[in-house]
Amino acid sequence: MEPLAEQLARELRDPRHSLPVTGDPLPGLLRGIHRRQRRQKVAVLTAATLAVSAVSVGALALGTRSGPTSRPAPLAQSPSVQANTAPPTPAPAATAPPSAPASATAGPPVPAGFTGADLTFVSATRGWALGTAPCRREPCTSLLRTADGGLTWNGGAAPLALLAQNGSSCGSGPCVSAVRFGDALHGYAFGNGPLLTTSDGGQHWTDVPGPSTTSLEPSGGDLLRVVTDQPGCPPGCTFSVQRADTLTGTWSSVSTPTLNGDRTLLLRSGDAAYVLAFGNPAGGAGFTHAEVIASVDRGRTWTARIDPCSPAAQNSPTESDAVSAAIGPAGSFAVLCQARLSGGPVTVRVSHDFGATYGVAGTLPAGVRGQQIAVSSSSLVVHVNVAGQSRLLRSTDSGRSWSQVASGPVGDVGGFLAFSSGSLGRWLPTGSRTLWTTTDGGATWTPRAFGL
Amino acid sequence: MEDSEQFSAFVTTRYSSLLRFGHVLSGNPDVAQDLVQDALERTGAAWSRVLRKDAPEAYVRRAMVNGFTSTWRRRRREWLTGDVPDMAATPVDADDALWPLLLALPPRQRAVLVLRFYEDLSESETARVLGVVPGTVKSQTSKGLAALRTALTRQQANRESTWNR
Repeated sequence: MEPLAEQLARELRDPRHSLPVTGDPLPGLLRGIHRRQRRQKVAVLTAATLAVSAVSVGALALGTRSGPTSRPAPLAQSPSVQANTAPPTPAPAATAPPSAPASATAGPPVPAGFTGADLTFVSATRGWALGTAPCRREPCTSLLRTADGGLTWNGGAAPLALLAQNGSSCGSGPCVSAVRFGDALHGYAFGNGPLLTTSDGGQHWTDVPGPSTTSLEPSGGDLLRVVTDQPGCPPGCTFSVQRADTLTGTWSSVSTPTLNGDRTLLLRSGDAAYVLAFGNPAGGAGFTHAEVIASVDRGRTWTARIDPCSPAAQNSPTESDAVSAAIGPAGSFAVLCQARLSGGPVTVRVSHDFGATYGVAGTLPAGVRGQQIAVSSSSLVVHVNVAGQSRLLRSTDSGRSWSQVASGPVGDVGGFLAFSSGSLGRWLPTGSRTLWTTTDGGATWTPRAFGL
Repeated sequence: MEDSEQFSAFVTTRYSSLLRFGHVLSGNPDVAQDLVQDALERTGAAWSRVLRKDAPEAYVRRAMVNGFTSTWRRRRREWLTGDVPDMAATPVDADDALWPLLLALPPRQRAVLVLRFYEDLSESETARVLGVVPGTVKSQTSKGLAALRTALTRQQANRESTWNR
């Protein structure tokens, strides 16, 4: 290829030309499709009416000339029909309209006593909740499905593995703590052990031999995961990143800066991706501070970034630890820093340049313990623990002020908190029987029990 | 799996990539969104047939290219900027200089270059997408690259003359 063509290819593939996907495009698309189909129906009806009129007029004319025994011309020969049913470019013909978004799927009921641990959605309506319910014989891991955005749920087949919650260990045997789906069919269950996959929407699960998968995120039809080969991890694990070009593709290792820690968090949005390897604040066998790497080309190449909570990054002697992080719609990166000193401040640090520099977005009210953070198009939302109670706080002024928007279960729980679009977000505290949903960027949250 | 579920899964997995394709094709985020929306609506309305006859993604991209080259003829050559980006501008390097020059190419030529050098399609595959013969793709590629080369040389000369003043 000549140098200019190579330069052109490089320019066209530059990650800066990626655009953030704001909001779930599906509802708008389905409305547009239904509008088109209505228009097509009207066009066909109009054509048919014109054709009938033409036939009637023709028949009348023939009748006038040849008497009552003459036959009407066949409909298909009417030029007006052909003209009006001509398909739009490039779709040459209308087909049966796709059915409306599926409502609740028929299936087994939610197991009694189900409590959630993790959540994944592939659209505004279709999702899965990983959890557990009391059963006679282990493993009691359950997987729920919804086809209506979480209004109703059904039970069904689940990965044959124990469920690890809040960093607990399963002992020996398969163990999962998280679930992700790349589309309606292809799913992945993982924890500190081998990966389990499904290609039929979760009806059947298969073990994939290989390293322990600690984090995995599908995005735009490809996969990234964080793995470790170390048995007995944590503490003090060495992680690496692997990539697959398709949802069923072969994993290949990607070169990254060193990545050590006790647990990992993988975040993706568009072409941007971050991996955090959280350290062990208590020291010992693990590492103290978080290690952060960032990619702007869908995980093909990675750059080491400074731990935004470290004294060096904060230019402050206060020892803080990263406890959670979130990725914004345009690839911005928000990290929740908890002061190591008991009762110390919890700050939010945000980077708009893929982790190269950070600014302090705000300090949370005194006395809270940070758990998780999420970023919507208009606000920051954090899950905190205040005097043993889980709460959601929200800031719409870049962290200068915070207000409580939801109150959850008692206990120092982790769980799932994320926005899947600029306005649609979900919160599932670990071990909760309730899922909170927001559709207004986190201003209001509606709780709904899984079993109802 | 139902048609609607397959379509939903397709949109969920491919939307981001299609949006990017629309952006390199049109050079404008708003036009990119319009192209994707229009092409996906057309595809969704004929989903069963598309699945039977065609690879959905190729179909959508073809619809986007057709939409881009035909819409351009009807539109004024000006765009409104809705939002000022909140990130700092990246310093201009050699590759950056190409982006505005690409935008200045005629849409058909630009579409050929995007399909050839972004999508990595062969001449015959590009010809099939555009509904032309491979010879046209070959000549449009050559003309497009020549136009870029000339514009780059002129730009370089302007820079040097400014520097020497």
